[in-house]
Amino acid sequence: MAILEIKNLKAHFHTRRGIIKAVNGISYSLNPGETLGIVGESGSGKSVSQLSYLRLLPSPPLKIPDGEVLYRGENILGMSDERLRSIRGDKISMIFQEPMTSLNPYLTIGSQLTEPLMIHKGFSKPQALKEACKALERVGIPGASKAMKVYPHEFSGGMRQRVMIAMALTTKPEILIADEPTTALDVTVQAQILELLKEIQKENQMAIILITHDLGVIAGLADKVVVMYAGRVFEKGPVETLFEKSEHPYTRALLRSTPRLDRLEEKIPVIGGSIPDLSQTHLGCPFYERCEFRKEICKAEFPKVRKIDPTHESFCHVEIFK
Amino acid sequence: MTPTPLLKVEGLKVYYPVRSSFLNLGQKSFLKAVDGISFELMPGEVLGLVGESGCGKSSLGKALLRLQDPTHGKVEINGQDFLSLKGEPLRKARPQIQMIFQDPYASLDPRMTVEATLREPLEAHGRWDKNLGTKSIQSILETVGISRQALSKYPHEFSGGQRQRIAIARALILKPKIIVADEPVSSLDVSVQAQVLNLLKEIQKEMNLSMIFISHNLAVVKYIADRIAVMYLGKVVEVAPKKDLYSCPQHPYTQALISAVPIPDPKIEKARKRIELKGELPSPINPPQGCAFHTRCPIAQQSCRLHSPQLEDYQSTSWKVSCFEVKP
Repeated sequence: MAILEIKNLKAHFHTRRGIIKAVNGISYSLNPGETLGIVGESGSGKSVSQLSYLRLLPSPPLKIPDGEVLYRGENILGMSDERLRSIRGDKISMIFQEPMTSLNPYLTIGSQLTEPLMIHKGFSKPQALKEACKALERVGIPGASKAMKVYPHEFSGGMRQRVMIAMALTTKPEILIADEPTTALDVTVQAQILELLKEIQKENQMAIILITHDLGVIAGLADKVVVMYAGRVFEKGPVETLFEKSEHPYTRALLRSTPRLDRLEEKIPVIGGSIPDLSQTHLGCPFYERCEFRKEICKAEFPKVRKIDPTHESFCHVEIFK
Repeated sequence: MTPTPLLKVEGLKVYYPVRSSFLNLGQKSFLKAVDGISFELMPGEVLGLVGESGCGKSSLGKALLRLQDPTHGKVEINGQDFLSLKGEPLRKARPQIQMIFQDPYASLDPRMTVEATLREPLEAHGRWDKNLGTKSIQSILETVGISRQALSKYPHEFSGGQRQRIAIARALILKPKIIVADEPVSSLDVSVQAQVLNLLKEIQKEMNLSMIFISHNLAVVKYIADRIAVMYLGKVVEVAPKKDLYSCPQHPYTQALISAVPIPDPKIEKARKRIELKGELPSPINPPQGCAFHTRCPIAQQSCRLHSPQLEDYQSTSWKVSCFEVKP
């Protein structure tokens, strides 16, 4: 059974300049121990879709007009704040992109690491300190007991991200949401962090939602992929299927336009135009303007789901392979 | 006859003074961002400069334009000693080398229209002429794919990709011979990144520009550069023609760097063996003795801790490696 199920989730921002439909009816599910990659460009709604139901965005301006997010069958959207607090940070943890802004500069690493343990697990301070120290060791920070007493600025970016991971893992969550966890890091450090995530997942059997714009990172880590664009899900399926037998024009274009280390190209095929303005209402498919396969119908209505096989779904009026 | 290089850099050093601590007052310490770099750039050649953050690649780029005056070394443009120039001769020489920055949101003045942005360099160098100037502004906009209606608009009215196109136009308006592009596509989305990369490559070919393309993204550099220099802690550790560098990298750092770049193909990516580097970049204020890479190097020997290797020819004169373990 799915541990997390998102059904037709919408997240809109009500601003002075109109309603921005950042997430516009998305659905997918996550199974225990599985890694789900969410890929998309900036403004596709990949982060907002997660932050919205966890109530980590100010409301107003955020409104969730529609949808369901089921955690073990229980709708998160209908929960009391108190009930959500008992899950968020305990069963569902999160790592953010920029470890400098997500750690509190005024508190030592130790006090930030022990907080979730004392709140969610009811540990005493010495117990929590011991657990936290173990967590730091696990993520590969040398001299863990000394590291507990330092402040975030004394660490490098990679080290800070390790601290973030340690913090997210102390409570042994069932779901880890990693929002661009390596985007701010150098490639050699990125490789270390991704390897660490893989190992820890194996040990704890936790499910990961990995949000990234980097198709290479997705290819290495994800089991399933959801491709998002302008607040919509365009395609979802197992990672191999999406990279090899993608059915959606956007997924295919995105894959083609990514420069690859293992290829020598004369010219990179491009997607013309740019990402649409979300404050405008798009009746049809938001990719219409940039799509090479567009038809008249694409302008008028957003396509219904087309199931290629039980695990692979595409949202497009055109069947490229026909 | 061998062609003469357009740009010649010799033993370039950029040191930033660091405030010394209370205990060793009087003793000055330096952050050695660029620590003795030499290379040549031919007309129409694109040199890629790669390395991780803090390796000094941006400091090197800025030093070439004298946006940050180098502490030591020589920069020759077209045979002219660029670093000794002052006043009017320096101003006359500046149009030859221009820069494109990473973040087009920060590098364009929000209070200047596109026209004013493109006009300023012409005026500053006394090349502004109402008829000709307007024409050259219009033609450069056409080259970078921005419509004429944009002339009276402000930067905030454009998307990131379009802003970078305007920044490229600004760098080109003085008809430079050399462009230093510092991470020009790093802040752009994948679909837009490809557009700007193709544009840069086209322009470079068409105008036969020489370019120094600085990036942390090895896949992007591979697409645009002819030759690539890999930097680590202020030094070049390997420089080679593109094909050689990617197919059989020699320096252990180059090998690790290339193996760390993820490839967007799940079958290849999940089967790949990585050379995992331990730890992180040491501080450039107090770099390790001997070879700066020895603290993370998988094949380091005792001698690497004591002596620092020199950049030496490997197989040909265009391929240079700085490692004791690499035998020519």
